[in-house]
Amino acid sequence: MNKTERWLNLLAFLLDHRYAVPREEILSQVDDYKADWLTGDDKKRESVRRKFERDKKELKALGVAIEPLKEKVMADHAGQEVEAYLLKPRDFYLPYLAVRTAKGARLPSHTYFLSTVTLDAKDLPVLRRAAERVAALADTPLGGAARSALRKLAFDLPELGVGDEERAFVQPTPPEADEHFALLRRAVEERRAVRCRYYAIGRDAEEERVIEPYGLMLSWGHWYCVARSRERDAMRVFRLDRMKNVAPVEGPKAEFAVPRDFRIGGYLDRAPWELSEEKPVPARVRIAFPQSRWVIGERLGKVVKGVTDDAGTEFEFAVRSAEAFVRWLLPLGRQVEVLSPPAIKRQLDEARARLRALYR
Amino acid sequence: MPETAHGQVPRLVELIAWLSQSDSAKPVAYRAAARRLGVPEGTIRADLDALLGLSGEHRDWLASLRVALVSGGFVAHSLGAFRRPLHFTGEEGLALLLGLAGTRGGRAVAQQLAQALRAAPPAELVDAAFAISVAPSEELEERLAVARRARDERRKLEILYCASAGEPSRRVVHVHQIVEAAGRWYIVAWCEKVGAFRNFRADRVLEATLLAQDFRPQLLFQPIRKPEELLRAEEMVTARVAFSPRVARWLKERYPGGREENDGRYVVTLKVADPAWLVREVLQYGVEAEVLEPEGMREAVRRAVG
Repeated sequence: MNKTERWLNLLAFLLDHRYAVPREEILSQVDDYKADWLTGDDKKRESVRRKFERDKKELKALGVAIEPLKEKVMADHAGQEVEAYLLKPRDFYLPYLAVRTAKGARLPSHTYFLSTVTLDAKDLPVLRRAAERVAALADTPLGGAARSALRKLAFDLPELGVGDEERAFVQPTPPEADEHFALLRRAVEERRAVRCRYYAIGRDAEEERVIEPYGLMLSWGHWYCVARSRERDAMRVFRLDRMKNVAPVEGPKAEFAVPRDFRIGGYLDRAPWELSEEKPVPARVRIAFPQSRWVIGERLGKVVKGVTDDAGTEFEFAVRSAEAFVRWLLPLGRQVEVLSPPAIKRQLDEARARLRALYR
Repeated sequence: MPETAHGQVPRLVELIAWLSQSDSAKPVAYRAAARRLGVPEGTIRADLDALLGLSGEHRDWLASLRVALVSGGFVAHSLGAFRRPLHFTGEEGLALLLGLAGTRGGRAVAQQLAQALRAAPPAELVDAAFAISVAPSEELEERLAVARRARDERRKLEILYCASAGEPSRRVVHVHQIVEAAGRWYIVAWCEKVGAFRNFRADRVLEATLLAQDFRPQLLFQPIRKPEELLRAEEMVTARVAFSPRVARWLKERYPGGREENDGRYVVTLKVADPAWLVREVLQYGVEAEVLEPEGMREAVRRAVG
């Protein structure tokens, strides 16, 4: 019997009992524990006990808490008190999801005595939009969980099912990315350092790193880990598909603290010219219509003057890397004019001159 | 990666719950179950083996579980345990909280769902440590909301659209799909003006007005299922581009399948639907990228630089 069958057996056994069941009864009735527990020697019985403890711990990760009740129960008429377990339906099943409308709550058919989460009709579009955002995770390492979460939502609220009418594409990830993501997620939640090999594309080199993962983000189609690098003693952003051999650091050195003011949002969707560690320089740029609209649409820069004579817009950007900023300006062609500072204006002019020479 | 009990148990509970919802005795095809659960058919067969293993021997607590393999599929249902899905697991809860965190009004809904999200990381931790790309700008979000409404209510949409080259033009479109790729949003719609499907970049829609008239969805519509399909067009342009050794390693990752020349330059052949896109793509690398051919594309780059 494999672990899946043992777990299903254990869960069904507990759900079938509306009263607390002593551990002895579980181990002597549920298959895969039963044989060794009833006929094995002390060593085998101890091994069964450990297997049950491991199962409880792993099922907890699925959100199924099989904990002994605070009050012990009588094991027999002799009056011996023992630990007992009760898995309440509300601790196992998805609560009923209902919608409150003008005509009252639309309730799903009830099979169990479970609580109901009642949402307002106005919450449905919000949940629908969130579901679409969750669906966008489908091809990422969080994809399996995202898809099953949506199916569960749609169990009672079918209108939340997201089909082909809404799709999002991310960059394909190597097969080990799922495992790395799960490991890093646990490291973020438990604040434990990890070691890995990382391909730094800027230096074209693979290096051994020990990092303290502060958070995970999906940006521009890639998952990134924002972490403090112990080697550099500085914050760094690591792309998950460039990480190899990710493993937890063991022992007391694994622990770390995250600054109270850390917010991963500060790293999300940064433009290439914001990624350097240099001090930001304000750059004022006029961009003509319609490119100005696209820049606004991508939430880049700050609009300082709504409409100029050519129906464009003046923006201010905080530029940490002038080279990256100029590379971003070049594709906008003649629609863009740098107003200040002179150094960036000169860099753009020089880059254009070199291009003209190349295509002469 | 081999299947683990962590993945299989919630799925089996869900499978039984799904099949127990109706009283129909009609068998389910493996393919249908696989499509619903988003796994290969082989996984469903392995799941069935696990259920058959369970129900092979009589146990009081599993007495109501019925599983049988029939021609072309299987039947399974229960009157006892597993008639409802397991509540959200930690990862499912994280995915939902991430979706809600980036949606206007999502935090309040997350609070209401708290009871169902007990296994998820605490909302404060998700806020501080996990994120997915922020929602598009408020203006773009509004355009997309109108487009989604047009799609869901099957109503025609009038847009003022500004393509990468040319003046803005008014079009009436029938929205069939919304697609996001690499941070950009596309409205996939039947365009009445050209009598064909077009992929409109949402940030180039200057105005969008929902019309009163309905439209009938195109029966032959093929939803976009791969990012490269966003570039479908009747006429594709083929161009050869050389990238300098300085940027070659990034480009090998972005455009695998190119060829390294003796001088260290990395040369790729690109097929593009939108020549203006290629000009922008190449210009972002400055002189580190050069269009080798066709001459028409070199001329387009020359014009863009001015």
